[in-house]
Formats: sequence, structure tokens, C-alpha cells
Amino acid sequence: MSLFLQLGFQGIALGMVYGLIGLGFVIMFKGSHTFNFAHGEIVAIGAYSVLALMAVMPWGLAFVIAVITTVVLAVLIEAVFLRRMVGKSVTTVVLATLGISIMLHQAILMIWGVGTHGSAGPVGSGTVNVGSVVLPWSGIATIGTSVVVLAGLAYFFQKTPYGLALRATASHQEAALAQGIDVRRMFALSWGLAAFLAVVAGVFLASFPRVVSPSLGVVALLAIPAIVIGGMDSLVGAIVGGLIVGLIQVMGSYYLSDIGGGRLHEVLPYIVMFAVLVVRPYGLFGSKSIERV
Amino acid sequence: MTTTLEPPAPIDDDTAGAPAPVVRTKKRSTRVWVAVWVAAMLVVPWVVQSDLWMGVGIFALIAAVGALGMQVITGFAGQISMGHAVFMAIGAYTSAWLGVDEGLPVWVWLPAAAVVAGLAGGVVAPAAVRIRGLYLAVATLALIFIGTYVWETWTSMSGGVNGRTAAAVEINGQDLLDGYWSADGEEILTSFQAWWYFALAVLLVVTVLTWNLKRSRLGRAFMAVRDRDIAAGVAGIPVTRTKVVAFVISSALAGVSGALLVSYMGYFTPSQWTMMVSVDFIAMVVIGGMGTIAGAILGAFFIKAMPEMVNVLSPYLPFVSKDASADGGVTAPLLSQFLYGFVIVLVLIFEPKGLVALFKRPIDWIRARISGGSK
Repeated sequence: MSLFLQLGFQGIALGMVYGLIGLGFVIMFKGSHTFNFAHGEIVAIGAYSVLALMAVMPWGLAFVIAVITTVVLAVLIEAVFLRRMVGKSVTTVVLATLGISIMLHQAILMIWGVGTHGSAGPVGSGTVNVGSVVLPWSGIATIGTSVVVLAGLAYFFQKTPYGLALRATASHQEAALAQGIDVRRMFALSWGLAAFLAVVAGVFLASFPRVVSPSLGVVALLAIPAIVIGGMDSLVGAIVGGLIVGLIQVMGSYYLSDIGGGRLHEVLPYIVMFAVLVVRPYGLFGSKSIERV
Repeated sequence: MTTTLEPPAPIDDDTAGAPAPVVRTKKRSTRVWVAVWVAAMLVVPWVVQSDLWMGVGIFALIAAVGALGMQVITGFAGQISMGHAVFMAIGAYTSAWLGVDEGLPVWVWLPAAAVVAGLAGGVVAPAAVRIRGLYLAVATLALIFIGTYVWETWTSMSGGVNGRTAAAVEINGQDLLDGYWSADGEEILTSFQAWWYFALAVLLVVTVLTWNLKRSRLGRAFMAVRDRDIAAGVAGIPVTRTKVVAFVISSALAGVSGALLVSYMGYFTPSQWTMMVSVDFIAMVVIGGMGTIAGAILGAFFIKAMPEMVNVLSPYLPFVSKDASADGGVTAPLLSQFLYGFVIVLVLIFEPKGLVALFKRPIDWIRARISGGSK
């Protein structure tokens, strides 16, 4: 039982990371109608930036500066490339983000090389015992931080003028424009917000296998099954989907280790995602209209 | 989200309801261009003496088969599929199983690769095409990860991490990778020439098939579904079935391309069927020109040749270092990949109709001049 709880805890922690990345996808999707395949690489850039900066300054400062640089990078990408593609078909825009994703990945390899580095997380590999359950500090930090970030995000969306403007843009661009909302600024805001979430997630994603490696961008793509399961335009769906994927992976890695070479848990999220799509093509919490995209 | 629907694509030359004389001139000029292209392709192996570029050319011919498949699903029917790598792999494993394990000839394993990959597409399609646009891209992305897992786990078929031998193309009992020899031991074609003509022959067959498909009732149904699927449905086109058929044809061509690819390489591993392989095909179609036959072929050559171009030029670029290192640095392969991403974005921004449009523009201009500026 304590093992089950321990796995569940790890699954929730990992799921929160996927949830934060997924939330980034959803915010960009709602805010600027773009599905950004390059988001995984932005997560990786966030983690690498923290790693590089923490070598020369205290962790907290490194994190803040990494957030600023990553947000600036994301906003620049949006302004330089994606803004020229407003009004183009979904296919075209998705392909552009694939191209950007390739560029960013090569840039990471040029700057930081193919090698792996230690964790970028603020906490070490210590554990704490709660009853008979052993909880790693990294998991506690992940869940704690995620809850704080999510609460902050909820406050932002519900209580601040910018949050309201962003929600308005997401629900109807033309109407928002007619109300005097600067829609372009909202595109930038959604990308910046997504980049902030990416850095937070990147730091903790890099603490699961405790390395920062060039494959981080691909690992981050596991947030895609999460948002598809949850529904591509649902903020709640991203978190729920993330938790489902995290739990499936961690539980699967233990309980299904005898089947299929012990790697079944790596593809399980995709299989579950496919099953969900067949039953509910718009995901568990998504609105039916997104099927029309 | 009606704002994101694809604008109706320009109707291709000879399908437009233009006045009869114009149609005839255009048709004739298309024929001339096709003849020039085929003649040029036949001469290439005797003109190009470089092994490197012949190799690139053969890879491009093989890729063009798959690119035409991607054109069917993406260019004609308007669905983004990231699953091409999976269907290539299915074609590859089918060919290796039939060609090596069962010892069957190429005339059997090559069509079989198409059939099995097409069937696999048919199994996935009904679930996949219920999902539109982005969701289809994402769902087919899942296929890539599931596929790689299957190949890596099914070691008796794939040979595990070490990979396996592919089927050889044997014509008159001669492996084309050894060249083609006359009865009294004289080399008629080198290995490169033999493979070039073989791949070219397959590509020509596939080109004729897709060209006819595009002009057929089914092809028009694809394009109707792409442009306005609801209207197409109202007009009596079975939308879902049409998408399924496009998916199946596309998968079958990917299968042929995969079988040819591994056969030319001689050897292949489960880890090579990545998402990037699928992205390559999408890029070929986009960079070449959406919805056109010439675009798919042009795109395939461009995508296959570009990395080599960068490699060839890199010694002259001062900031490019030769060897990869664990600490980073700009190397030729990284730079070529970076440029590859950059070119995709540039084409999308500045010439969304692709290289074909770039070529067409001067031709149209000359034609307009000749016909006295009547257009």
C-alpha cells in the first residue's frame, strides 16, 4: 500500500509537470489559435538556461533571469515568425512551428552540445518519510510549486484586467478587438505566459530522470497526449490530462514492467490518448467546436 | 473556427473551366515540360560522375514516392498526417520479411509493401479521420511513438537494436547494388546507374498513378473535402470514406517508399523511423508546393540535397567546425538542420505555394509575352 501511495505521489508530481507544459500549449492555442510544436524545445531552453545561470549565481536569481530570457525569446518568435502567419491555415501555422522547433533544437545542440548535465532543480535528491511512505523532496517541490503557480494563474485569469482581456480574446477575437483589446498584445502575452510555465516545468521535468539533455524537448511532447486527453482548449483539461499521463507512466513503469520489454509505460499515454480520441474526439473537457479546426 | 479554413486552392491548369484553346496550349506545354523532365532524368546518371550526388539523387527519387503519398493526404485531401514514418516502416518490414525471410522477388515484395502499408492505414484511418486538422496531426504523432516501440520490441522481425538486412532488388538474378552486368561479364550499368533507373521507373509509375488520381472523380472529391468539407458532404461526397481512401493511398505509397529506402541502404534499424522522417515528407510537400505533383518531386530533391549542399559549403564558412563535440559548437550537420527548419519557415511566410510557384512565375511571364499579353 505504501508503495502504491509512493508511486501515486510520484505520478502526481510528474503529472503536474506535464500539466504545466500542457497549460502552455492550451494558453497559446486559445490565445493565438496556434498549436505550437516548438513548445517542447522552449521547455528545454528554459531548463538549460537555469542550468547555465545557476553555475554563476544563486539559484533563485538564475531562475528569474532564465524566465525573463525564455519569455523574451518566445515573444520574439511569436512576433518575428508567427505574426506574419495570422489568417493562414492551421496546416501552414503548425508546419511553421515544426520548422521553428527544428531550429531551436539545433540551436540547443550548438550552444550546449549533445552531452547530459546534472539536474537544474532547486532541491537535491533527498527524501522524507511520511509514515511508511518515502517521498522525494523533488516531488514535494514540484507539487508545491505547481499548486502555487496554478493558483496564481487562476487569480490572473479571474481577477486581473489582462487575464480578462486574454479570456475575451480566446473566446472571440473579433469581439475582443471591437472592445478595444489589443489582440496582438494578447498573442504576445499568451506566448510569454506559456514560456513562463515552460521554464517552471522544464526545471522540474529535468528532475525526474535527474538530467538535462537535448532530448528534453521530446520528453516535453508527452504533454501532447495530456492535452488531447483533457481537451485542447481546456485549462482544467490540461491539468487533469497531465495527471492522468503522469500516473499512467509512473504506475505503468512499475506494474507493467514484465510486459513488452518493460518499456510499455513509455507508449501507454499515446495508446490511452488514441482510445480517448476514438470515443471523444474533442477530449474529456474540450469543447466540441475544436473538432472543427 | 471558420477563419482558419484553407482558402480554396487554385485549380490546376487543365482542370479549369477555361476556354478551349487556352486549355489546349497549356496541356501541350505541360506535356513538353514532362518530356523534358523525363529526358533529363534519363541522362543524369551518365552526366553526374559524383558518387555522393548520385546517392543523394537516388535517395531523392525514393523520397519522392513517399512525398507523392504525402501530397495525396495533405495536398489533395487537406489532412496533416505525421504518421508517414510508421507506414514507411511497415513497408520496409514487409519487404524484408518477404524478400529475405521468404526469398520472394522484388515484383512480389514491392507491391506487397504497398498493400500491407495500405491495409495498416485502412485499420487506423477510420479512427484517425474522425479527428480533424490538428487533432489528426497529434493522433498520428501517437502512431510514431507506438510504432517505434513495436519495432524495438518485436525483435524477431526487426532484429532489435542491431537492425536487420533488407531485401535486395534482383533483376535477372543480379543484385542492383552490384551494378548490372552483361552475360559475358561486362558492366553495363554501375550500381548507382542501375539503382537510379530502377527508382526512377518506380517513381514514374507512381507519378502517373497520382496524376490520374488527382484528375479522377476521387481526386476531385479529395479536394472538395479539403476546401469545404461540409459543402462536399452536402454535395453528396461521402466525407469520411473519402478521407479514409486518401489515408490508405497515402500509407501505401509511404510503404513503397520505405521498402525502396531500406533496400537501397541494405540494412535498417528500428530507431530510424522517427517523427523527423514524417516531418521531412511534410516539408517536401510544403516547400515543393501543396497539391501539385511537380511540387512533391521538386520538394523531395530539395530536402534531400540541401544538407549535402551545406556540407559541401561548410569548409568555406569560418564559423563552422568539423567535428561534433559534447560542449556544443556549430557543425555542418547542425547548421544544415538549422537551415532546414529556417527554410521551412521562410517558404511558409514568403512563398506559401512553394518552389513550384517560383518556377512557374517566369514561365507564365514568358508565356504571357508570347501570347501578346492577352492574359
